[in-house]
Amino acid sequence: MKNYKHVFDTLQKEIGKVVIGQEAIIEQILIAMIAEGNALLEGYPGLAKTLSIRTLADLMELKFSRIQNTPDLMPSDITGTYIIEEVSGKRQFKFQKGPIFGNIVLADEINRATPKTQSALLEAMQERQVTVGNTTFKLDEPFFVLATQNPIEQEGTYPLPEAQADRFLLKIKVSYPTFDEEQKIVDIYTSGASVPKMRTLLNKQHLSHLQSVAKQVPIAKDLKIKALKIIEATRTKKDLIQYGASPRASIGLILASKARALIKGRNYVSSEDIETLVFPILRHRIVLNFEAERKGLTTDDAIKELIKKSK
Amino acid sequence: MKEFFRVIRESSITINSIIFFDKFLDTLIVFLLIYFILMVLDIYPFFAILPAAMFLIITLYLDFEKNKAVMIEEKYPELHERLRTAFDHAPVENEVVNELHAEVMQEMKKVSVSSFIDTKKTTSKIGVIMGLCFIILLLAAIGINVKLNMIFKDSGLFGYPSSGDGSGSKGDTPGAGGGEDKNIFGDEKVATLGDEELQLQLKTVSYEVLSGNNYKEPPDVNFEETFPDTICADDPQGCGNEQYSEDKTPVEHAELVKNYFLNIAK
Repeated sequence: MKNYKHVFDTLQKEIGKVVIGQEAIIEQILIAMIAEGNALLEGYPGLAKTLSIRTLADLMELKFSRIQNTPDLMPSDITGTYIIEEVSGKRQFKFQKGPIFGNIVLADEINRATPKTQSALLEAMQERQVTVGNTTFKLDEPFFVLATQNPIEQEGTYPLPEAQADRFLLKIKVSYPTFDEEQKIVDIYTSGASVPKMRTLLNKQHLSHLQSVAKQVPIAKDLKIKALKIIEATRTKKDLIQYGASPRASIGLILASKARALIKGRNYVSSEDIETLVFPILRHRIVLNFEAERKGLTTDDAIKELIKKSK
Repeated sequence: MKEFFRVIRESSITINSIIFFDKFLDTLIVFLLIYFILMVLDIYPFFAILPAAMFLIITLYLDFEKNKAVMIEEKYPELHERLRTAFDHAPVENEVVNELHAEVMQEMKKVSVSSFIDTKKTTSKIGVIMGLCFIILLLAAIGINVKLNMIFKDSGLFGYPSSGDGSGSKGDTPGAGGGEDKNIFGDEKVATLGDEELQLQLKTVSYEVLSGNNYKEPPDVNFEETFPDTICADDPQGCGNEQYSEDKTPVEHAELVKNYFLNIAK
């Protein structure tokens, strides 16, 4: 397990040359990838969301594609479409694959796309395949969708419905860097120094192996029960939460905890893993009731309350 | 994996033994306390075995059900969460679990049995047991008890007549009425010794009969070689007569008796 920790430490170090700070964000993105899940990153503009994902894709020798969501984006712009191609004087339809056919797909500002376009992307996330006309195309493995959204602009946006947001394993909140980190960022990007070139550390086979090893990490029975009790509490705590999380959240929490244990070089899941990951797992899966919103509580506050009750 | 199962088995057996010893001491304390109370109340004290046995069974069941891995982890924080995970996945074999088992087995070598025995607590429990035994033996020797019939004599409870109730009869139950309870003990008799009425007391614990009468020890009298004067007062020769000093049985008679017994022995 120490070898695996070394791999992830090296990965973080390499990313740290380009992305200053945001170690927690990088870690959560890695957790989502190892747990074979998708992640939704929410943060203000200019916080290196796109840069982090792109850098990670470079380090892992994975095909990176980007979808810039706008209100006029069509589903075929994501999935691909048939084009007429002339071959040897003959015209025929050829399927032109869309940006969804990558290994890491960055869906920028997903809340700006129309619900129809969002559903095309989300269907691909769920089914790992794309249907165009009568033909189904399987997506390449591994396949991750890392979507971003801006919490500021609410006009002209189409917020993801809760049922669709449930398909994302983690909702990662990207925050501002610290003062020292910002100083470092300014020093690097204003000094004219070139951005260091990334060397490939992992490939598809390595990633696939890491994903299978993560599933082997054991979790104690009482910790599993604790995790399930927290998820169950989201459905029973009616004084704060109107709609609770589904069993998808239970699966996601256990898998993500195992992935985090692997990243930390541990051969067992600890309660710290569960308590850390319950926030990104649940914050997009629960809906607060009117009373909680009136008090000004956030989903993170409600989750803190649930963790306190589970102890 | 077999090695790990052996480790689990050994640690469970060891901890169960310690739990049993600890609960056995607690049960002894409970038994002695109840025995003491029953003894003071003049109730058959060996009834204390029943609640003590139930206490032992219930506490053993509750403690045996506890997670042994968590008990070990509490004493050895470096095994925190690792040991219970390894125990829960004992039959699993994969790269990660095998590594966990190997690490845990290495750490388990540092676990010692003495860390689970609270010396102060055990010593104080043994001290309490010895104290209780001493008190019980002391009270048994003195014979202090509080008879229930003395407490409830005039209360009107448990079949005893209330004070002011002449007949005290409460039904056909023997001993229910105040005037009828004498029948079960039979007619009153008074034990006498000569002209003196005997005062006897039966100790229920040691079953000794103590006498309440004041008897003096007979005085020591030193008999001289000859008979006392009162025996030979009528003889004109007094105690100086030879017949009072020696045995005057004829030799022929002595031989006769001796041969008789010899022939019987043949």
